[in-house]
Amino acid sequence: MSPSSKKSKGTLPFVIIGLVLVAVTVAVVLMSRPGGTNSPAGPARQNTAQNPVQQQQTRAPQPGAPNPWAKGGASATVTIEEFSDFQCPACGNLAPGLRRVAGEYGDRVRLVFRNFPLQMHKYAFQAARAAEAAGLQGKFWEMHDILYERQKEWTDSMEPRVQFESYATRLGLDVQRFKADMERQDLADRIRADMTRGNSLNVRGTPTIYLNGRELMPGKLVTEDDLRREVGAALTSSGR
Amino acid sequence: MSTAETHEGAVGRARVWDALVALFALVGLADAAYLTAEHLSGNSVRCMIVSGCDEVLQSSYSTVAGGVPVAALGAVAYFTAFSLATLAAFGYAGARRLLAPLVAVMFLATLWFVYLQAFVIRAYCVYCLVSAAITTTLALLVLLPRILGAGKRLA
Repeated sequence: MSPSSKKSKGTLPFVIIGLVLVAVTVAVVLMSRPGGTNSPAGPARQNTAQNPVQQQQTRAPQPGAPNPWAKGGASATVTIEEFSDFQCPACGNLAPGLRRVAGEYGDRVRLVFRNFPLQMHKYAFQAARAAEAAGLQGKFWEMHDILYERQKEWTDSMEPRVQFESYATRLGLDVQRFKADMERQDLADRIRADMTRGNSLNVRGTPTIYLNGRELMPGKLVTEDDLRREVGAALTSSGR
Repeated sequence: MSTAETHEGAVGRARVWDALVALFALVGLADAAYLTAEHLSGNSVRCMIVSGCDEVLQSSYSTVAGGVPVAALGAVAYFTAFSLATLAAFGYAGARRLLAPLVAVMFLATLWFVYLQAFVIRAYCVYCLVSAAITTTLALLVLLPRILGAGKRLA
């Protein structure tokens, strides 16, 4: 290497490296704050930003499965509609809290369950079938609860039907009937009707919660505390 | 063609190559920085139709040695690769020599993380796969010329 080429290197590369270091550190610090990456510019949002107006204007909300599984008062002033995927960890985490909040408000609140199994979860549709099949024997919510409590067990399994059948046994169901019911087309149609409803409402992930038709905290993870607060506020404003 | 011109031509090509490596490393750095921020903010554990459920980012495999996020290590690696490639582009030949072992280690780490996602966690994180693609590209850019014996002309 000749002396002249050494002189030409200069400090520019170090300036560039330094600038990049500062920029990246600042970016990470800013994005690391709670809620930092959930801004409208975040990646999860970018895909929904492409056609949100189009979808909302051209698609009327589809009704979903007739007689969806619901808990609580038929004449409740507050309705919570949850779009959920049995294989979704966040849905599993929320399930006990949702149950508690619904339990606390009893008949004043109505909790409606909508199946929204995501494509990426290979066992989610089957799990939904299992819950619906249990529902035919009057144990939908019990199966729903077990599926979430034991989520890891069946999601990590090579053949989750084995687990589903064991849950059916635990719940005292007629297992032969349960197995047959899991294959029913009308149950699959129910699940798909809920998915169609979710898509018509532009549901982009799970869990997604609607309170009296309004999406709760769009894009954010709803917690038990959020639910309690929102339900409480809705009940207060409706005079109950 | 004089030998001086051939040498300068080769040096010029080498620096453009280094700049390309620096560019890819910068993209990898941005991706790793985002993943680090995601990890630190404990955010978005919802399952999104498009980007997944963060099962990978929430898994025990996402940290090493007492809570250091793997994504942060990746960011450090990409930053180092970026720095070395930038220095090499400006003529610090020693920097280029350090790039190869660094990128080789990064590539091996990438293979491990892809294996974890495919066979152990059995879930993917989109941005982790983007990082895998970038590291593979870096490995091709940095290691392949050496392996093919063209390293003598570029080094």
